[in-house]
Amino acid sequence: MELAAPFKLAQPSVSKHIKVLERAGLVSRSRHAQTRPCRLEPAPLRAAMEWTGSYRMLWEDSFDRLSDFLDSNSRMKKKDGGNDR
Amino acid sequence: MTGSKDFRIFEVTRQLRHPRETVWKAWSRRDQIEKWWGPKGCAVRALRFEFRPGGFFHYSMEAAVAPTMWGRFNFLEISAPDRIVWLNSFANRDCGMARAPFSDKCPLEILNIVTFSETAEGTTQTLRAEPFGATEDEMQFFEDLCSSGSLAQGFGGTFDQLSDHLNGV
Repeated sequence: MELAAPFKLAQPSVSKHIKVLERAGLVSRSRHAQTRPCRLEPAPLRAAMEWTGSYRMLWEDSFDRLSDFLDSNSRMKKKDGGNDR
Repeated sequence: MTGSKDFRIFEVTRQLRHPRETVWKAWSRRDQIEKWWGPKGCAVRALRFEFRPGGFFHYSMEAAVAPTMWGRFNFLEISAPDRIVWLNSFANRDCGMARAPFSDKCPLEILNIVTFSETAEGTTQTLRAEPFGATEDEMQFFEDLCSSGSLAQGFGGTFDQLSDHLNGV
């Protein structure tokens, strides 16, 4: 099966993944002679991946700023001689 | 508090070179959380900060060319100094819940659990996020998404490559 070719997965495993994608409306399959050409329907997957990706980025960015904030606070404390506000 | 199935959106761990008490303050004080939390390019302002179970962190997000948006944390569990559990959602001006303006696939609320543990160098901070209150259909979609996500990863992790490959078949 052509789809299995680039993956380090056995064909039955790829078939299983395709069925899952089809059930989720992310892939549509048609029939052409003995083959089942697959078409990726990217819109729902993109929409779903966008929000999960955005949410992850929100936190990764925030944690970068948390780290900077903690570092600059501790530098300030050292300058002030350790006063804890 | 955990979900019955593992539908986590992500889990991210950071090693912070600061004592746990200091990290806890950054999460539990209004004047501190305002200084680091929020989306890139947004000025975040705390409108309400009630650090107790049932309380809200209600904030506005102002970006240059977009209308003001609001969000909130609804704290469920606070266990100093090692664990905070809350529901995050978009909000309106009055701290009521609102839908994500950009996507109806985004769950109304996201359950977040952050834990802090002490290390020799400072603190290990782990945040885990998962959808909250999703319907069975939504959970099925999410489960399918996670399992198909590993398919995309096996192909070098770029969605466009996968799309090109499949549509070329």
